[in-house]
Amino acid sequence: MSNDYQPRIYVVDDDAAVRSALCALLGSVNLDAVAFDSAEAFLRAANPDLMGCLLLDVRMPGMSGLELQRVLRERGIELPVIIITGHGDVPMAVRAMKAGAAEFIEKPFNDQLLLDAIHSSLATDAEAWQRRGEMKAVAERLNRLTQREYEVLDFLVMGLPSKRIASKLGISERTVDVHRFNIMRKTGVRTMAELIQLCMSYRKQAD
Amino acid sequence: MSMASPPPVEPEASTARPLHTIDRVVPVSGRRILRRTLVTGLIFSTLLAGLVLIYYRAESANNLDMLKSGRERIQHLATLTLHQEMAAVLSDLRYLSRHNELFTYLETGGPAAERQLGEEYVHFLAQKRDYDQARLIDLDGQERIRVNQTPGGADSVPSPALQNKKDRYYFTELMKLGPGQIYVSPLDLNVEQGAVEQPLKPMIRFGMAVFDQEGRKRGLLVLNYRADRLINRIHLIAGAPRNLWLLNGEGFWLMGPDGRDEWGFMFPERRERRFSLRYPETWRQMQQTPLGAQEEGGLLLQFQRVFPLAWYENDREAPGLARPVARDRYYWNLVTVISGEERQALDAPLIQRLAMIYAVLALFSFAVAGALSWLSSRNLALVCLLERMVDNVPMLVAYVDAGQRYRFNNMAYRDWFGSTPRQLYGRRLRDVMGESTYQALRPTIEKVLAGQRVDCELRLDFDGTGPRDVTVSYLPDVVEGGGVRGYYAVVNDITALKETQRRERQHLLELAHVSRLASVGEVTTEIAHQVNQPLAAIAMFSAAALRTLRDGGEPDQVMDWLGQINAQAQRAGEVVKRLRRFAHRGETSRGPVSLNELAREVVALTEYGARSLDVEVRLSLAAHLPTTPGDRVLLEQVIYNLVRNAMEAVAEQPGPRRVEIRTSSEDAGVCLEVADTGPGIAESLGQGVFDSFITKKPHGLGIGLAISRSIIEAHGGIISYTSPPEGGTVFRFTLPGVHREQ
Repeated sequence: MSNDYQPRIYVVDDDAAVRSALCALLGSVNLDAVAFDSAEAFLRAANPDLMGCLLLDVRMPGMSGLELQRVLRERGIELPVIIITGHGDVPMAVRAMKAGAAEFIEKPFNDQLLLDAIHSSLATDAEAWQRRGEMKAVAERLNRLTQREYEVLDFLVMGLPSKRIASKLGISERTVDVHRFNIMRKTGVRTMAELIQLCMSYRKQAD
Repeated sequence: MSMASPPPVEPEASTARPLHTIDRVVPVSGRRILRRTLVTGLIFSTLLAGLVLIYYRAESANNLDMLKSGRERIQHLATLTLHQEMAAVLSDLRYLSRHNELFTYLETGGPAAERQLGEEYVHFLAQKRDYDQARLIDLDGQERIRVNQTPGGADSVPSPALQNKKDRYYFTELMKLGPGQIYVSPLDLNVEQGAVEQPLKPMIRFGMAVFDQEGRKRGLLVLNYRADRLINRIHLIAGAPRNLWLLNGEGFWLMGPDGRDEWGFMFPERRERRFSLRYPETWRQMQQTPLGAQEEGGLLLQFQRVFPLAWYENDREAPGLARPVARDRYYWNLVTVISGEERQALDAPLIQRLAMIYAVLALFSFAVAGALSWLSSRNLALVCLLERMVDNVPMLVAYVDAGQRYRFNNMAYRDWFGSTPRQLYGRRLRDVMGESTYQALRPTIEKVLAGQRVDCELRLDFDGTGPRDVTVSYLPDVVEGGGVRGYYAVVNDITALKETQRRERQHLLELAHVSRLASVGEVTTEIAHQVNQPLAAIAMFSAAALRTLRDGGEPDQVMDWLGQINAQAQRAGEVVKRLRRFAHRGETSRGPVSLNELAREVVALTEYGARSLDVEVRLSLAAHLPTTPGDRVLLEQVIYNLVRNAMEAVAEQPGPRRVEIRTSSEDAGVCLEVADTGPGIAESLGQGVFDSFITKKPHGLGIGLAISRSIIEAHGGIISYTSPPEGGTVFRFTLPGVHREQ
């Protein structure tokens, strides 16, 4: 885990008392908490680089919790969401989980339960954050390739030999070998197997 | 009791076309009309016939009177003529008995004087053609002078031809006469040599004794008067022949219906031909009275006894005058005849005229009878129809006169009072309905009799029937000029309806409590959420405090958190109290209630629901709103129902989801409105939304609005809704306000 990871707990609840109580509880366990009184207020501050997790009351005037979840996903903000609700009915929970909520906690709740949920969410987020960082590096390396190198890379990942690639692209086998060398150099991998693994994981992430 | 007083009823314009068409419904039987027409027409025409007959009789009698008076005139003229003629003969006779030549002859007695006297008589007869003979007879019966009337002139008979008349009846009669006496023979036919002279020569002999200067009777003077001329004259007077008869004292015709009937006493074979035998009844009458009329043998006979010798000259005017001796017994009968044919001839045009008039009148009477019977059948059918309708209306219908007596009742009265309309007719209202009911109705009755229409609802206690709720409609019967002749009464028994309404209201109030308990279920969920918030806050504050204290952190912060915990506990308590207030089922209280307060309370109760349905609830409350007397629990229930409905109405809306509660004060009291931005209410429902079991909600009972209405109406208020043009629905109720809000 990199030291750059500084998680924050984002609290969105329209009830001021609940808001300040949550902040007090989180503060007491040295968690950094920021409170918002509505979904709209949070959205104004939200960006994909946020770290930590979101504590969200489902029922609020204006934009509801579920709606906020939808908007966040549209914007590519992958913050884990912990739904807290006073109305713990099953359909609501199902909807929340389908929308991608990490945890579903019913009010009033055991403080430890909440903290455990927060911690597990933070762990997930940290992992995701790290992966995001790696992917970023891979992407940066792949971005250095030229257009022709990308085409060659595609055939390489399919497992075609240099001779076939040369005939497909209408270039000489030797030129293909030069491109392969440059790809290995630019992405910083040593073996062919490593290169294939890098591409596969990148594609998986990109999906 | 509500009393409406619409403007006084104006008398209906009688000329206006009737608005209803009941006369077209009335069945009129053609056969019945025909039968009635015939019967009535027959009666009419019979009556007319009677009248015409009476008129005919009168006219006919009139005609007869005219005939009779004509005949009387003839009789009168004939009588006059007879008198005149006889008088002339008598005066001639008197003259002949006193003139000089006679006296000279009586003194001298010589042949010269006799001849001169004879010539005198010849001259006399030559001028007086009415006489047949003039004779002078001496006391021995020997004719001394005799002058005969001949066609060539008067002719004196020579002495040798003179006869002795000593044996003749008139000689004997004449010999009895004294001075101043005249003998007149009956009217008969001249007889020569024992046989009636042909052609018939009717004759009357006038005679008197002749006295000389010394007063000695010397002879007899006889004048034969030819009565045929007299008879002819009378025939002329009669005009038409044979309708004036002349009878002698024995009842023989002197002038008769036929020549062969005349002079019966002169001919043995005609003895039976006499008036007295052919018309015995008339004859009998004639014996009893000198003047009269009798119908016999198809003839109308008017008779009059005539004394031809007794005329107007009387003894006093001419005391010395000679007179007929038997002038009081010498009479004839004049009979005028009116035959049946004559009368018929006179009546025929009358009959013809009357027959024509009668035919026209009879035709007319049948036409009138037809019209009358059509009218009467139609009116009868109309009356039957109206009776049937009025009798089958499930209400009391009556007409009461100004003296407060029943003049008409429908059959419904029989069910109420046990008396048929016929028995009720003319009875006083007071006696029929009982004193207490009458007193209750009295102001109403006085009002309608003053000419005002009255519609009202009353609870009346009729004798025997128990209290009844009725609607009473009184319509004055205003006559031209403004007087009230009576009034029409329509009384409808709405006891059952009222009872149902009362029960329904009671039911709904009970239901209100039930439904409030049902909403307590809803509210409980709401409350659970509301309690959850402070509880969650408390739990977290306390957890934070615990951790901080365990880790030896800032006590100041813990103090702050404890304060928060306290506040949140208060908050939870407040929520619980609200629930208890709402669910409270206490006695119905009528204390002053502030609608503002109730509105705030309801908003608090529905806060979480509003949040979860994402509905914005706004309050727009009037300052200084008067309070209203009422049950705060029930009124809160109404507001809760309205707000809850409004929230549910807007919940599915894509647009703005807003519910606004407004209060305001009005002249009539206080008003609360719940406006929403929902889809509105289907126009077809109208005010029916307040009826029970009308709902749009899948799980609703449809009693919320019905209960709300009954609560508001029980508080003397009105609830309604409108759909404003900008969309949504506004429910609104007003309640009478009393107290000022502090």
